[in-house]
Amino acid sequence: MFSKFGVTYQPGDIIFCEYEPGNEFYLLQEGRVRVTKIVGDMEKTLDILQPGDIFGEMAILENQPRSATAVAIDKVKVLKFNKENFNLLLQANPQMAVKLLKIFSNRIYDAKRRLMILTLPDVESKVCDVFLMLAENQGISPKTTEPVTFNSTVEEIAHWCGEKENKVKEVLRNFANAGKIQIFEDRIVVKNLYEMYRIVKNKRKKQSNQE
Amino acid sequence: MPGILRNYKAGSIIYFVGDIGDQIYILKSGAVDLVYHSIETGEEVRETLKNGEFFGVKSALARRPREETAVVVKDSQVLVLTTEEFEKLITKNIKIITNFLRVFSNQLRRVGKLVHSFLDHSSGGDNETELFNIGEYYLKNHKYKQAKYVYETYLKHYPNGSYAAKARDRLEAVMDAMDGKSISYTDISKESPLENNQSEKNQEDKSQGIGTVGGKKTGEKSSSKKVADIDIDTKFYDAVSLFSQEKYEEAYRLFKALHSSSSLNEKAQEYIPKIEFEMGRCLLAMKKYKEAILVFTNLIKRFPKDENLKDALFNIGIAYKKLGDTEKAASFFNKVLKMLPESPIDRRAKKELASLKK
Repeated sequence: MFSKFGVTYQPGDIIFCEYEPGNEFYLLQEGRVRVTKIVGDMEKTLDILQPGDIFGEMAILENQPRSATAVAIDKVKVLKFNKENFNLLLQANPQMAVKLLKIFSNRIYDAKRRLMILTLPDVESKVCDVFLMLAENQGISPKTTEPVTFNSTVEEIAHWCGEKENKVKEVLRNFANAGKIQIFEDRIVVKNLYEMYRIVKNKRKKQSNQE
Repeated sequence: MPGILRNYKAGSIIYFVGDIGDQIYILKSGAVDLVYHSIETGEEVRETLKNGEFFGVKSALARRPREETAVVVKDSQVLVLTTEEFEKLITKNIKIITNFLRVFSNQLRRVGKLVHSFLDHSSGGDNETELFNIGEYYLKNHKYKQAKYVYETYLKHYPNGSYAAKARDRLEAVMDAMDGKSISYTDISKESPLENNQSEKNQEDKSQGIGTVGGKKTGEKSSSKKVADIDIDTKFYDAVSLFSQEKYEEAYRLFKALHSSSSLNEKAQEYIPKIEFEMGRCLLAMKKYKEAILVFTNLIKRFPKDENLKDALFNIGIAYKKLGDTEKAASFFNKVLKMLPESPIDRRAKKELASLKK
C-alpha cells in the first residue's frame, strides 16, 4: 500500500496549506501532523494529528480549497488518496471508512451549529451564541451562572459570527461596559453565560413566530 | 444479523430530540417518522422512513444529541444495534459504507453551502489573494521554509496570477534567506553551539504552544509577535556576525532576505534603516561600489534623520573614491564634516580628504 500511495515528509514540511486547491486526502501512518490556521495575525494550532488519523477529507466532497494548513511535526509518512483510488482503499481498509463516517457525522453537527449562529438576526445575539457554542465545545453547560473564561480573540469571534471585526468589537465593548464580560488581551471572561443563553433563546423564538 | 428486535406500539417514541444514546436502529416493518425543526426556517419537518432504513446513525457515531424525535406512527418492528455492532456490520459490507458516505457527504455539502451563503457578503479576498497572503504571513514571521512552499504553490496554481511577479520576487528572497541561514547556522554553531541550538528550540516550543480556535483545547498563549521580534533580532546579529567573519556575500544575502521580510512586519520596521545600512556596507566590502552608493543614497532619502546618516555619507565618499571620482568623494567627505553632531567619523573624513589632495 505504501509503495503505491505513500509519501514521506520531513519535520517542518507543509503537506498542504490554507487556500491551496487540492483533491487528495490523507491517512497518517507515522509521525504527527499539526493543523493550523492563520487567524488575524496569528497562526493558531487547531489540532495535532496522530498516526491513524485522517485529514484533508473535505477534498473528496468539494472543489473548495483547503481550509487549514497541515505541517509535519516529525518525520511523517502518509497514504495519499483521491476520488479515483478511494474505493480501493475502502476495500483494503474498511475500518478507515468507519472513521471517515464518524468524522463526517461530527462535521455535519459542527456545520449545523455554525449555521444556527449565522441565522440569528443581529450581531449581538450572534456573539452571545458564539460564546454558547464555545462553551458546549468545552463541555460547559450554557445554563451556568458562574464566570467562564474563553481563550478567544475578537478575530475568532468575528469569524464564527460571519461579521466584520469592528461590528463585533463594538458589541463586545458594549457588553464590557454593561459589566457582562471582561476583555483581556488573550482571553474573554463571560460573567453570566445563562443570560446569553436567554437572549439567544428569545431571539430564536421571535424568529420562528414571525414565520 | 446482530442486534435485538424490538416491537413499538403506534404513538410511542423511540427517542426524543436532544437525547444522547449510542444505539442505531433499522426499521423492519411498520411506520416511523422523524420529526425536527429546520434550522433555516424554524418550521417543523416530518420525514417518513422506508422499511429497511437506518436511523439514529449520525448522532450515535458522533456521540452527539439526537437531532430529531423518532415517532412510531404504526405498530412497528425495529432492529436495535449498538454502535459497535453497527461498525462490525458495515465493515463486512462495503456497499452500506459507500451508501452512508454518500448520504453524509451530501448533507455536509448542503449545510456547507448554506453556511457559505451567509458568509459571502462578509468574506475577505478571493482564494488566490488569500493563498498569496498566507505566504506573506510566513515570510513576515521569517518562516522561510513554509513561505517557500506557499509561494511555489501559488505559482503552480496561478502562474499568470495578479501576484505572480511578486511571488517570484519573494521566492528568490526566501531562497537567499534559506541559503544564508544554513550557512550562518553551521558557522555560528562552531563558535557557540549551545546558545544557537537553544534559541532554535525555544522558538519551536513557542510556536507549538500557541492556543486554539474554538476553545476546544486550552494551550499556552504566547504572542507570535514576540517570537517574530526575537527572531529578527537573532537573525540580524547572525548576519552582522557573518560580516565580521568577512563573509560579505553571505551576510549580504541574509540582510537582503531580512529586508524583504521586515518590510511586511510592522514590528520589524525599525530594523529597516539598520538593515539597509548593513547591506550598503556589505556591497562596499564586496567592491560593488555603484550598488553600494545606490543603497546608501536611498537610505538617506528615506530616513534623513537616521542615526547612521553621517556614516552613510562617509561610505558614499569612500565608494566614489574607489571608483576614482575624487571630486564627488571630496564633496561627500565635506558633507560629513559640515554636519552636526560631531562624531568619530569626522576624523576619518578629514584623513580621507587630506589623502585625496595629495
